Amino acid sequence: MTLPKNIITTTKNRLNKVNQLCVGILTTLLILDVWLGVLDRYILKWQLVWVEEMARYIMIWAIMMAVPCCTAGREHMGLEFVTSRLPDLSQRLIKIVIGGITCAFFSYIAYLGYAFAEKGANQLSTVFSMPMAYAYAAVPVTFALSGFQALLVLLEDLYALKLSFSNSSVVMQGEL
Amino acid sequence: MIGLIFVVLMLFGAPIAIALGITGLAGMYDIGGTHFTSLAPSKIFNGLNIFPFLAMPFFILAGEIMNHTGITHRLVALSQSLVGHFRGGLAHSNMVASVFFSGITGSATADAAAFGRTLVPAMVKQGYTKEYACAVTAAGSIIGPTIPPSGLMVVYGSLMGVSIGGLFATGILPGILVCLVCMAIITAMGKRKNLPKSSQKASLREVLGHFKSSLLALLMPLIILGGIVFGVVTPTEAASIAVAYALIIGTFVYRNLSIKALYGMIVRTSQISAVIYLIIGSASILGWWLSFNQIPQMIADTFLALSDDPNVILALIIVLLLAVGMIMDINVMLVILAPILVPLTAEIGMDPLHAGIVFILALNISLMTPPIGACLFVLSSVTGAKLEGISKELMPFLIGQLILLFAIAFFPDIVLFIPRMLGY
Repeated sequence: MTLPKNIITTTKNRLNKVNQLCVGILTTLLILDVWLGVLDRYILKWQLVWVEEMARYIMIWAIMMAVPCCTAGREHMGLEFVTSRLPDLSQRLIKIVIGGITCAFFSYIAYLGYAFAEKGANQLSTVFSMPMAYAYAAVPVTFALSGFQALLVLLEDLYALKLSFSNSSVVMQGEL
Repeated sequence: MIGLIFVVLMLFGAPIAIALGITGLAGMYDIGGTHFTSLAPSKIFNGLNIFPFLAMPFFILAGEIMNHTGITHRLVALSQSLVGHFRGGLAHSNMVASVFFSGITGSATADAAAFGRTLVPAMVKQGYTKEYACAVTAAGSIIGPTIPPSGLMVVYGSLMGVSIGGLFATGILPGILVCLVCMAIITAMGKRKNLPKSSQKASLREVLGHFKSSLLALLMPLIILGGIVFGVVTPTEAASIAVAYALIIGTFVYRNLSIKALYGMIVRTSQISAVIYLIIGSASILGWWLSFNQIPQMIADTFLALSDDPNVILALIIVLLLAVGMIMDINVMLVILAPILVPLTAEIGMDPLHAGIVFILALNISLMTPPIGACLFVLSSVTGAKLEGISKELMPFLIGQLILLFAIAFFPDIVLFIPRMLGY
């Protein structure tokens, strides 16, 4: 592997590892929180009113933090029955255009999400009076991360395309 | 124009969530410029801020842990000891194992992937064609999300405000009926297709032995369903108890669960859920645009104008679901089509649980209809069988399941007597 591709892929994978660790921690917290709720309701009877609200917000953070991981792993599902019938070059070009659109979508929602989270600073959650900005921040943070991962995926595809062009020109020169 | 954006993006292979989100944003911009697009993040957030949604990742995780313990092989062995001696024994075992497996996983594609790796090669080894083995597996894979616990029912119940416990109770019988219909088709075609007979009839002792070794897996759905259906615990609580149960079994009984493996399963579960929840979040943007333009009402009015016979309208709803399901992801259909079609079922006097099960069964069947049935893709990629070949072998099963779907739709008592008995 040549240097630029190496840097792009390494950055993507390292960021993804940290991201996955955050997802793992948040999901574990989520499980523990719901277990506590079950224990409280049936055995302890402490009447912990905050567990359900907390679970909802941890779930949103945990699941949304997994969105950039899916982006890095190219796991978001799309239909391929039309594109898979096209020539290789067309497939690659379409993939790059779609990659650009994906990156733009995530980035735009992250941008809008910043204002959304700011508005949440003045709202308090119903049970434990937490500023809703902490919950709303899940949208801009995770979409910004997804946008960045989508950019790295796009760069990988662009680099692969460039490489295939230079390889084919080498073959053509060889044939001449 | 807005619809065209969606179609073009989908045809060019854009991720479904992105196609939905961009179409929704374009619709919002069309109505009120950036002032309206600024609403998109709140639509995404509120689309996910629903407590019962929590049940789905927990059910997926419990299934992942149980699978890791090697329970699939035990359940397949039990199924084989029960029905393996008939002609087409492994095909029958595939169906029965799908029923046992359904209490552990709630996803058709997960079932298709698991069986595609285990049962399909075993069937091929015994003389079945790869395409037929895949078709049987695809047909059986919809049993999983029909019999509870079912991720699809959790999403449907959460979005439409229908009791998830009630849906679970309603789903048991249709799931078993799907299994019986498929087994009848295997039997009917057994001689003509010269399906192999596999093993000798197992003795009662052998059956009991397999039953004993699978008992811990078979108890899990009973605990989950018992808790939810009798109203003792909520679906989310039951799902978290299922995770605890699977963890205890994996750690202390089968003793093959490491922290590293568990971490991998937790992350994978979150990622599987993230793919679905991003679709739901993005579809919420488009859903808002549709509601703003009163498109659901327009579609409902069109349906009601076509006929005043409730049966005709119900048939039209099913045909629409199946037709859209041929090319659309089922989660998208749930978020976009359910708010349009479910009120229509209420207008023609359908019981919400009955409407729910018809909706879910139709969506499940659409998972295996060509050209874009998710289960067919999974099986084709796992086994290397040709999509066209699987589709051809699948046809008798598909016809049988469609007849069953219409029977359930037009004779609600078939499926409603269990939930009624339980007080739903």
